[in-house]
Amino acid sequence: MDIQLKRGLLETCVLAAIAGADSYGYKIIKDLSGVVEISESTLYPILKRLESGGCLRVYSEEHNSRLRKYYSITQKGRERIPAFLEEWETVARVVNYIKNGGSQNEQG
Amino acid sequence: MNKAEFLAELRTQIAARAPEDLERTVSYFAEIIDDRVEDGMSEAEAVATLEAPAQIAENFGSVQSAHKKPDSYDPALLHTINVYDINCPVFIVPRRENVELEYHEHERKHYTISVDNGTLNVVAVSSMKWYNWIGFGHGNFGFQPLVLGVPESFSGRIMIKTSNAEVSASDVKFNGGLLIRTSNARFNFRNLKISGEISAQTSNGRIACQFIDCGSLNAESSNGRIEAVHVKAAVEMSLVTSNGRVEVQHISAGQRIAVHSSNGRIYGTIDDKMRDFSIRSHTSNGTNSLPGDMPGGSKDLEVTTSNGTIDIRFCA
Repeated sequence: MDIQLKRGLLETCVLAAIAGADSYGYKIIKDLSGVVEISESTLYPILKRLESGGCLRVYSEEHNSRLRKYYSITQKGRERIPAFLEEWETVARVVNYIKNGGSQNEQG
Repeated sequence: MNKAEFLAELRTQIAARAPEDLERTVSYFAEIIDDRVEDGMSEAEAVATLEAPAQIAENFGSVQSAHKKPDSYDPALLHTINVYDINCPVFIVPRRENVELEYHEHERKHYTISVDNGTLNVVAVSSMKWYNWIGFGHGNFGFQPLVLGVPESFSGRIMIKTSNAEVSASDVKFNGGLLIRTSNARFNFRNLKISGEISAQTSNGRIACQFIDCGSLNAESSNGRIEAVHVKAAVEMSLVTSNGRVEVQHISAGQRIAVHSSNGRIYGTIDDKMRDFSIRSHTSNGTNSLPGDMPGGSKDLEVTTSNGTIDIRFCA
């Protein structure tokens, strides 16, 4: 898959993975493993990007006498999910157009 | 490889990063290994599931290839600086000796920079793909600001054009003019001494001017409020917005002050005597502290709004 397209999908997948409850790195990877292929080194910059974009917050909590970082979705992050789905409709239309061999008929 | 060896190797591979960033990255991978061990793997197995540190560093490299480049120019050889950017904040800051430019390029954006007969042209060239614009791809493209450093010895004209991003200028002093355009973003001007005109136009953003000494100030926004605090214009000052209030505190101008809004109140103080002005003012749906039409002064004051009060005091 095109790497740019994949990163965009992954960002939204990560947001979806923490939308229900706060989560941590390893759990996010495990939760997403059935859906998309994501490695630790792919996840890390995505988390950082989402954090700097205000889509999630990071906090540390003690777990088995060590600190574990938890990721918590923000309101802005929540809003990204429906926004993505809406954008995806545009992509879906383009995909349809391509699938139909560039036929304008499908465009309405 | 055990955990300690893996982390040591990772540290070496990403050594070029900022210290805080480096520590965060290392602790992120330490946590992943700990979680896997807790899940039943041995340390060696946990490390084996991860990519090699060199691979990790390379993956990061492709994501964070944005880098900073400072360029330096002799102000004596320049009379005009033009910056055309897209979706990128621009900060104008003071520099001691040279005109300096700091910018970030990445795989989807670069700058063409040229000096031609005393004009420095800085033009952003974007190769963003359509899916970058609809939320795909690198989420943080374009958010790192372009920084223009201006020394007092610069004399001439600076024009900045960007979009969807703020422009700010602080503590800058030079002889000449400053023209700035952006959209959907605010302006912040603080502590400027510019002999010529400052012209600032935005939409959907507020304009804040504090401690400004200039030839003329023309600030225009739509859907944004305007604040002018301790602003002195040798010739004229014009503050225009719609759907926003205008606050002026201790402003003065040699010849003319014009403040216009709609759907916003206009209030504050002018550092002059009322009788120095020929005044024309009008509001509908609000009280007005100024006379509607009072000729006789050597300077002009025009204040109009609708759906808002006008409350201007003179404190010379």
